[in-house]
Amino acid sequence: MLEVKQVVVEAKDHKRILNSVSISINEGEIHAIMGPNGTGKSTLAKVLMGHEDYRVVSGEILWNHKSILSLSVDERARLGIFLANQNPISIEGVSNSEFLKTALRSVRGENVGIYEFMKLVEKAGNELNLPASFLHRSINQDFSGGERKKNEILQMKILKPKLIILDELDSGLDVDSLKIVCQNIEDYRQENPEASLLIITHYSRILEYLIPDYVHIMKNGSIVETSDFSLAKRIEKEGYVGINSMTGMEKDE
Amino acid sequence: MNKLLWKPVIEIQEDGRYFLFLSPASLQLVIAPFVNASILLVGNQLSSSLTIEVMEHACFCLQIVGVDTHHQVRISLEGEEAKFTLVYSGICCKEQSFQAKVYHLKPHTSSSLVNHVINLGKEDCLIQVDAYVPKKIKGCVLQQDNKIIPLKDGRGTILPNLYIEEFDSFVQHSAYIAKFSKDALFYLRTRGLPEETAQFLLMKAFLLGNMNLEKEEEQIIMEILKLGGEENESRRF
Repeated sequence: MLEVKQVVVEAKDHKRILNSVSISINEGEIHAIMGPNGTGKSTLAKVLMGHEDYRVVSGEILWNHKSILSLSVDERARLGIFLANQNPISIEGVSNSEFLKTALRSVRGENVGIYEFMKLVEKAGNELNLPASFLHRSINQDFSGGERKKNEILQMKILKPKLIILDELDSGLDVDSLKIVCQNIEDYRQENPEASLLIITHYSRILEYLIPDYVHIMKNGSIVETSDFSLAKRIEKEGYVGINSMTGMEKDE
Repeated sequence: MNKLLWKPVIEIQEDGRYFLFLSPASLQLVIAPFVNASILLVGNQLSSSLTIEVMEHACFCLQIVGVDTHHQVRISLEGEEAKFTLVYSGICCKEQSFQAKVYHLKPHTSSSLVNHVINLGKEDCLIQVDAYVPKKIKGCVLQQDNKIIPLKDGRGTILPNLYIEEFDSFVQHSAYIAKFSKDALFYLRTRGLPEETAQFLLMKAFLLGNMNLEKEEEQIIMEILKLGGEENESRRF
């Protein structure tokens, strides 16, 4: 489904952020990228989404064997790539309902009846324990951190993407909310078994709910180790310093 | 139900919401004491001069929307506890200017002005707001929020002038000229909205978000501004 081949990325100031990152995600797989702060995990998520602040200097990103490097952010979204943001922003004046309805129309390429739309949103909102009033409020305006994250997952449930990138979904979520959100993602996977997950996180807590097939460790813009879920457990126990010693890298600066 | 205003000089003596189709170049409004009223003025390519007197304990809201307009509004708060709110939302395709002068002539009067303009053209657009509080006119509240979003090559000028001679006044002011937030555009586009659709949603929020509109009023405005609604965003401008 998604192949990232030796991608090198620079920021606008030509600072290199990602060094020859490669990752291959097949249908239905769950991948987790872990690593300490500032290693480029969120940058990778934005690069996959086509953020204009980053330039792919070399390498390739393929979606179903076709390059998506020249595609815009919205074109990638319409292919089925979904980024659940680390810090979802608020947009004053644009209501959740108008935004969601417009997004659904863009993704489907056809108008969506108001009745169908309301049924979809009502069901998804109930499953996430979001108050009904949220639909008429501005996007994430006066939402708590937890509500913002739930709103991201609600959008996922409505738009039905094929690859879901969860950028630190667990930050800002309390234990109960994390459980609800992860249950919703798991239910989504059951209903859409071809959907894949790329989970970006510092901690293994979220991975207890969404057990990954592969865990990648990122350090200084590179993936330095890939293994199964046991790697995440090891990090929980030993920290990233332990991983550094195993991969022959120096300890954290 | 909105009432239609048509006289060139009008005294508003009843509470209510009014819809104003303006053809004359100048109009004088007097808001009688204790009246709570609002007027919505919508139209494109209009040039107007409005003089408004707000009497004691009256509460008046003026909302103006249009494309390529030149409006001058002079507001006198003539009675104690008079309150005035102005929401101006303009689109500049070729030319536009908006000038407001607010005179706080009695104590404990308040004014709130929210002026938002989107510049779609190549020319300069203008917001000028002058506010006056003379000495011994105590307890006045003045709030101003002026923003211009240039989407193309055009520029924007905001000239806020506050002439406050009385220390016992509460004054807030902001002036902002910048493009739409890149983060907001990115966020909307990550959900599949093409750039122009995302921009359309931000424009609509910027222009109409601060207004107090009923559904039918919003529809009229959308039609007049040729915003066209989400189904037809491709035909705007």
